[in-house]
Amino acid sequence: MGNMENSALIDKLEYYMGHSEDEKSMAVMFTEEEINILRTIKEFEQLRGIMESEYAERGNGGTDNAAYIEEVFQRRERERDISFRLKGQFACQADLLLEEGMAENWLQVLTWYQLLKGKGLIVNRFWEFPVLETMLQAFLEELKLFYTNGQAISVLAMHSLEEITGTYFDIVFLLRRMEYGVEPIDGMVSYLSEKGLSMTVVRTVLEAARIFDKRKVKDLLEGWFGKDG
Amino acid sequence: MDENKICFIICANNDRFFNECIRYIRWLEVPEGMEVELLEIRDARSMAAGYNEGMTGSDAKYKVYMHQDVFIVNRFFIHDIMSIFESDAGIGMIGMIGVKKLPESGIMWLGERVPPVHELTENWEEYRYDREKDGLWEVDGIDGVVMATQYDIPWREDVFDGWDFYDLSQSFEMHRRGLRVVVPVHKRFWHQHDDKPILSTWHYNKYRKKFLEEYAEMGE
Repeated sequence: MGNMENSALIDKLEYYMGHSEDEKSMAVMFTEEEINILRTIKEFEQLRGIMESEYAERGNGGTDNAAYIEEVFQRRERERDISFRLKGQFACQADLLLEEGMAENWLQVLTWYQLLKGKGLIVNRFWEFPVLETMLQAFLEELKLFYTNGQAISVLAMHSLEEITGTYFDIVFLLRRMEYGVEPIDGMVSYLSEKGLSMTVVRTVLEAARIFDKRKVKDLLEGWFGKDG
Repeated sequence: MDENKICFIICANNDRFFNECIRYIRWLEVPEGMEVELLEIRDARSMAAGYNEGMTGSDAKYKVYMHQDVFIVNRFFIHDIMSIFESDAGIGMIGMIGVKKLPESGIMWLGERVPPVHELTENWEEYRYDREKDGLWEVDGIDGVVMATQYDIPWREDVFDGWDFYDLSQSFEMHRRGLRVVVPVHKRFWHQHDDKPILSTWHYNKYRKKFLEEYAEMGE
């Protein structure tokens, strides 16, 4: 594995941001799946622009709390269909990239995710996104270790968004069972061995998950796997 | 009604969550002489419809309606729930999260939530709820994550045919019948909920309006 970077996709996206009307270049630079995402993002931003101007024309309802609440919900309802469409397109693109099990492709998923997050689109509307963000964080931690000591990047064994989400919850469930003494640590040991996942992934999930006594779980893990396990 | 029986009723569409959820139910301490029943409702048309199916399908006096992605981590949950119900026949429903006074908007999380977000950090594993010492919060409504009842009151599937506001509706149905709705003053959470910090409220406003219309007289 060479020195990985993701500048090609970032360069293309930067060009697109400045020349989004240039359909001809777009067709050359991007795949069909990528074009679908970019077109929907553009449509989404236009919809938000329309809603903003309507809101400005109507006024903000002053101190009328009920009017404000109604406004917030109406906006959300108008964004519903396009949100689901964009989510589907993102999932399709992510699965194509993840299927190959390559670190370069994970970086591309990260870039697409950051694009949506940076624009404030859908990542705070579907629970799969915070899960993906955690696993992308685990990937970055593993990537650092790969460069430092050649340690394998274990998350590459996950080949779809569905698999990533499933693995995330499997780990959270195992951690919580340890926390409350529902199951001993053996369950976690077997799972990690079966899936070939590293402790880096487990530690990242532990930090992000709703585990109340993180210290206790961390101590249990370190007791079994060691501090650097 | 079987007074020595408690039934957990769960609308399920995700095996991973459901299996984890029942793992915790099976882990609970069961008081001597009590029977625990589990009803899994698949393909529910709505939460209220699913819960009505569960309610009529069990003769247990005590019923716990809960989400599939909720894990009861208070091992003495059944003891504690029963101690509360047995202390007052006027208590209709117990929740884990509630709102003391529901705001006029009907939006629960804009009101004063109980419990406030706090947790015991020391010796949490030794803590046990004590009804007499710890007490109860009286609330207008409870969140649908976990809802325990000791009376079968029909869920309003005629009005709430989706996945929102069935919980506040049931709280108000209890109040309409003069029953109390309470949340135990617990110093550590009795449940964990893996919903991530996302509110998928696509249809929320529609049911919020239905709720305000249906229970308009109770807000006066």
